[in-house]
Amino acid sequence: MDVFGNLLQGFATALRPEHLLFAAIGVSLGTLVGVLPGIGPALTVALLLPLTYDFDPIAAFIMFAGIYYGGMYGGSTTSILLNTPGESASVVTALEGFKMAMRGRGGAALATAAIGSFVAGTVSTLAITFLAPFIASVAITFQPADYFALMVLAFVSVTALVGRSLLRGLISLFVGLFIGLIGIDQVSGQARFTFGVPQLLDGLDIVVVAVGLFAVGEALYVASRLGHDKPQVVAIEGSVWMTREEFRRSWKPWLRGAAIGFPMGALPAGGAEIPTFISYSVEKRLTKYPEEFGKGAIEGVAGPEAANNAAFSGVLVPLLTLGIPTSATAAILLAAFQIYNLQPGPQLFQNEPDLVWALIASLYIGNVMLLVLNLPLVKIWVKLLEVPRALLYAAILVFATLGVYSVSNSLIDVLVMYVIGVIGFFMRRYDFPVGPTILGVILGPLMEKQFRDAVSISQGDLSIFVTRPLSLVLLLAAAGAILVPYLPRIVARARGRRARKGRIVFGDGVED
Amino acid sequence: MSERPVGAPEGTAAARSFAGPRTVGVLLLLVGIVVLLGTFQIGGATGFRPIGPRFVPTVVGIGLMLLAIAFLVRTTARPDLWLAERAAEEERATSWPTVGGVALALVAYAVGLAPLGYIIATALFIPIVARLLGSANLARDAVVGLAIGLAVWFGFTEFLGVRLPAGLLDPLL
Repeated sequence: MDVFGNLLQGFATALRPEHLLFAAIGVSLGTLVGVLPGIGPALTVALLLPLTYDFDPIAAFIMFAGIYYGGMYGGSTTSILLNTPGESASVVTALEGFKMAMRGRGGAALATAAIGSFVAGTVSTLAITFLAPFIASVAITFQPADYFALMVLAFVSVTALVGRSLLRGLISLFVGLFIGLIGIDQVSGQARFTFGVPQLLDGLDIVVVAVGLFAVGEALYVASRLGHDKPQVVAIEGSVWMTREEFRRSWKPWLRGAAIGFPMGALPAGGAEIPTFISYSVEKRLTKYPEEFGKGAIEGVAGPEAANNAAFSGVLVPLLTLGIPTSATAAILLAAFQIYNLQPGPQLFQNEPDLVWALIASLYIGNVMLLVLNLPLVKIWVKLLEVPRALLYAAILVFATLGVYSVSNSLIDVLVMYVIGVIGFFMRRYDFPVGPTILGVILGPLMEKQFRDAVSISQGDLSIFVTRPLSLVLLLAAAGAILVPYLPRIVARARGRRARKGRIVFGDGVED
Repeated sequence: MSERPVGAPEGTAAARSFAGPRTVGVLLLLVGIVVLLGTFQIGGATGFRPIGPRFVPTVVGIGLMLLAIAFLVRTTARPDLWLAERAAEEERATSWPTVGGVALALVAYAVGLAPLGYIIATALFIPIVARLLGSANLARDAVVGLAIGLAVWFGFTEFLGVRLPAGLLDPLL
């Protein structure tokens, strides 16, 4: 396995002018949607899917990767200056970042977020470069039972670790699983839940589901609360740069954040939110300036921002090497691979080395582009926060309609998308996380196929899932992931004390 | 995202509402029943494979029903107070006329796309929705709407090769 040769080849492809152009478009779009409240990378990639049907897949994925990364960089700007995180993985950034902005250190907060994202993004891309081919070579031996167990773990970690309520997460997941079942069964050719409507034989298009849940759901939700949420943008004073002292306080949290974020993203363990919370508490514990925490401590921005970028890169490892998405955005990327008839997984590295290595090389390039976009040019993006929200959401609805209409030229599809949007509205209203639904729609059919293949191989013996050591370990890990949030309560009860109510909450599970 | 109640301390009388969550629970239960009934309409297994096309739908249907029942329990016998407070807060903040207006505008937009054409429909939709969402600057919104309509129409038909309806403007375009 010649990683360097492959990587050089990848750079040769990614540095072609047209690919550089797509990388630039991707990171700019990503930063744009990251900065704008209410829309995020998952929605953007879903909207762009139909437009890229005729693209060369390498160009399309370089652009998608740019959007994915850019969303992370841009999200921190919104968190720091507006105190409304654009992305769930930026929630923690708002804790200290917004306080820094109030104190007039907004420029330093933006700088430490951008440089921290760059450091962590580059470190993680290095890790992907060496880790991904290795995992792919190991994963060749995986059997359907193992894949089934891996997918269960991915479902559980996304549903159980993120969001306020396990029950609501599971409901969201099962609704997604049901939507994924609609259409012709790939194995037997039987129609399922089509209710006699021929258009449903192909199933519900993921674009319709994702755009409805994310864009229309969010727009209706914002419309409903009109006049109640009035965000204020804090102006940046001075330049976007750090003092020597702030730099000195930032570099260790950057590296620690990367070290926390990457492995947590790479394990199928619930995307980018959890590592940001962990990084924040680690920095709070290690800091020499504990009195500043809660009032704008720079470590509380540097660490979590590095962690969320590293985790975002980490998520690409199971996506590329195993074909298993562990966040809503990754699930949409998986759908994009399927549209191009590419199956992410161990074979991808053998069958499509050009694509994979160009994609990895483009991550290095994208990080550099994003550093430029987010340090010297950040004030341009800040202007975007002043776009009137009424116009912004009207435009989001126009692009949502356009995205679905351009897939099929079908009025029915657009109306179905609106209905799903109404469901998305009520999900936001009653705190059901949207991510598990998307994951269920996309991963559900794959999981069913692996399950049925595994049971076919074992000739009907369901014990295959617990007799294969790997799948047993993965299923036990999934069971563990359900229990983790309840651990403090269980421990307290075991010691005979009155338990604190509830479970630990990591993030609020909102991803758009 | 807005400031949300994070569970009031016990003893304080925060407003609570279970009507919405209960409705959601009942609807979820109905979906579960529909899914289970729907599994009977799936053609049976065709031979060789031990697990047929009905198995997973049955699991999902039963799962949805059980989860819906658990959710209903959390709105009645063992109430989830945080959710009830959140629901009450949402109800207080919700402006239904705005939601309904936006929903109506969306449907009208989708239906009007083909007969009116993309440009005209978009140029109308954006200022109307922006107005519903509280914008006071009608002239600016109308200009933005027309600009987006024109840019998308020409961008898509000229550069991306995606056909969008020309509608009323067909003779001109």
